[in-house]
Amino acid sequence: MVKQKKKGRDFSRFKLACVAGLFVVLLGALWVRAGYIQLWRGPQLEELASRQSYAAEFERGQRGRILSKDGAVLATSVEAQSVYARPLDAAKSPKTPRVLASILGLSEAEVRKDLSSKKNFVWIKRQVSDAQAKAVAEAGLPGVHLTSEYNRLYPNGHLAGQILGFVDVDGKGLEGVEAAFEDRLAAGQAKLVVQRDASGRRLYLDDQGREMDINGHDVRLTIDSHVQDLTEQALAEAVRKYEAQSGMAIVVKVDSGEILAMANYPFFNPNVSRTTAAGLRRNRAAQDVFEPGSTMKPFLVAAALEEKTVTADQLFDCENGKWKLRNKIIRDDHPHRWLTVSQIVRYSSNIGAAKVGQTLGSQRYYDYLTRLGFGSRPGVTALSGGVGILHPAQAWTEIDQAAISFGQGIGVTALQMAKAYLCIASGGEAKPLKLIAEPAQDQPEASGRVFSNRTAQAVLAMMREVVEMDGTGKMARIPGVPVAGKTGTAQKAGKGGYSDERLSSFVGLIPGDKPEYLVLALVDEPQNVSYGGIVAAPAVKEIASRALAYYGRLPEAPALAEAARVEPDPSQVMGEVLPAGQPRTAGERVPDLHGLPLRRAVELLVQKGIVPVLKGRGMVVSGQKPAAGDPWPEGRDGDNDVFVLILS
Amino acid sequence: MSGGVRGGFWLLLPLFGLALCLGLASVWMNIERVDLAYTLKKMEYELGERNALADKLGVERDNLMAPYQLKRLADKFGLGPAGPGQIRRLPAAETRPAPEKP
Repeated sequence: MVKQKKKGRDFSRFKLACVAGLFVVLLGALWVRAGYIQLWRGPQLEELASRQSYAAEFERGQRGRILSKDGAVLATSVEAQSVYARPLDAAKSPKTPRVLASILGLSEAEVRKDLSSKKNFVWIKRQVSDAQAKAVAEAGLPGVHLTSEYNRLYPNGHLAGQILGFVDVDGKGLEGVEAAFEDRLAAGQAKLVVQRDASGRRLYLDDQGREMDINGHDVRLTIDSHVQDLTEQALAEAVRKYEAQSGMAIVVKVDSGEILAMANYPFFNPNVSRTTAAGLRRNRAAQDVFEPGSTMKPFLVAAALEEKTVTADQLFDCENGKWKLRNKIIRDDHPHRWLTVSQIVRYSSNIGAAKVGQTLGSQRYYDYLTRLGFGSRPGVTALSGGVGILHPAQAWTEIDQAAISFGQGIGVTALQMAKAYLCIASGGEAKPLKLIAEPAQDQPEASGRVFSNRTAQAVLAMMREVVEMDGTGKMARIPGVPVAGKTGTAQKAGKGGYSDERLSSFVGLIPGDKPEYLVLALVDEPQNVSYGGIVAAPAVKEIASRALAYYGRLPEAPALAEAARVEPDPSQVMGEVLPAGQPRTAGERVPDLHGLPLRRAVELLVQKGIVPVLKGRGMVVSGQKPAAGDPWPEGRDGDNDVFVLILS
Repeated sequence: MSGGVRGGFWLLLPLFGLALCLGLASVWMNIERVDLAYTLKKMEYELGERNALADKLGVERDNLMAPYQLKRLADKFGLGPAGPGQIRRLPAAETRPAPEKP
């Protein structure tokens, strides 16, 4: 019994201990494993998990817009889809090249070549239309995907195309305002962290990265879209009418120097920049250098008046249209003999201008030209304006000086010309031209007075005569609005000298008595007719009258319009009744004939048996010799210049 | 079982319950967060789509309002810019007194 008891020893405690020990070991092993995973491999595993659960996403902002002064959107960016492929995946479907080619309007061979690339990623077509993107998505081609990009659009087509410039396919500005303001317009990029689910779909995680302003900033121009359009239309009409090569026009607001329009013809549409010839993209008005011709004469006369080397009424012998200087012959298109300085401007006499230039001297004229901005960049932000060609005064020969006096032998840009005329329109004070309204330009160009106000007004009066009297710019008249202007018909340089081609130009200041707008038009190589007064002046008239209509500044009625004319047309003065106080009989002493119609003055002199010598052109007496109150001259022979009437 | 052990058990039980509740709440909140994340992403996408559409419509509007389009329409309807003498400025209308209430 005792033996049996001994044999049946109780091992339960031992078993329990073993089980407990086993559990302790297992639990310990678990803790060790957990500790190894959490503490030892934790960071590494956490990184692996993050890679699986989180992804970085880049978001590009929208490029800034370019706006006109009146708020029209000239350039903007919209989202567009681009088609790309992963060739390895795309190769699985043989129909892919054919389907893609038919949807995207590409050749099948081209698509097949792209898809046979060994690269992991190829563009098939960028910035496709919405309809094409939808068709590609619906086709569900393997390895063919869509991605969003921003496409640059110019809603107004060719309007101000050369000013705006264009961008490349990646949205980087290449020319014009797009390039000049690349830093401001360019969109930024934000890096966002998003969560991914098991199937790879992106989830919103938090707002990290979303607080950044990644959109580009807008740029506002001083261009008025309506004025720009009407300027382009008028310019295009002039170029087409005279079958010219090209044309340029600029409209400037005088008080602020803002460029309201700058047109170049042929037009350039930035929407199709990639298929446009490089020559059409050039902003000719800012960059092309040309010899201006007679539009330079007002600056010469202003400089001479300022330096008091001439007076407005001083007579110059214009040699009946042909003058030999050294071995060169200077010609006038319309021959004249005696012309006052005003008439030299009015009738655009090259010989007269050359003689005025001689009184001024080359160095002084050169100084005025440089102060007006010739020979240096106009300094208009966003326009890489040309410098032009202006040789130092020391290098001028006598012939050079004569030629530069009437606008040959000097190279200028339309922008420089506009800036120089802005000085005269502003009463002699040089002002900077502006193209950018916003952002405000930090360093405005230094301005200063070039001519006295008196000189500027005198030149302005001469320019009014060009249009309002019997000058070369009669076709720029606008009923009811006085217009001051100057024509230009410049010979173009060719091989071995000047060619037969011409550059016709006209600069108008409106209203002519107190200019508010400056309008400049140039037509390059017009056919059949080349006079600036015929080719370019009507374009300026068209631009100015339509711009005035747009701003509501045209006079109400034609009668009022004509009454507002500042200078009477001498052709209409002849039949007028003599004003009170004017001499009706010859009298004992020489009467004051100033202001009399030519016919009446001659009638008075004939009463005394005098045949006067006429100097100048025109139908109204503006001066006389002997002066009023002097005794009648003894000689009665007109050939001896005993009585000279100066006409204007 | 001694009284001290029994007291500790009753102390641990609510803590265990609290931990369980917090765990469940955490799971529920995580599900809600993911759900919300899906919704937000979808809304972001829709917003982007609508903004893109608005931009495109804006471009269309700008194109239709472009001066060359207006000129084309004006020509079609026989309209043109006013010439000299074609503008009349009407005197500003006098302010009428408001009618008296009966």
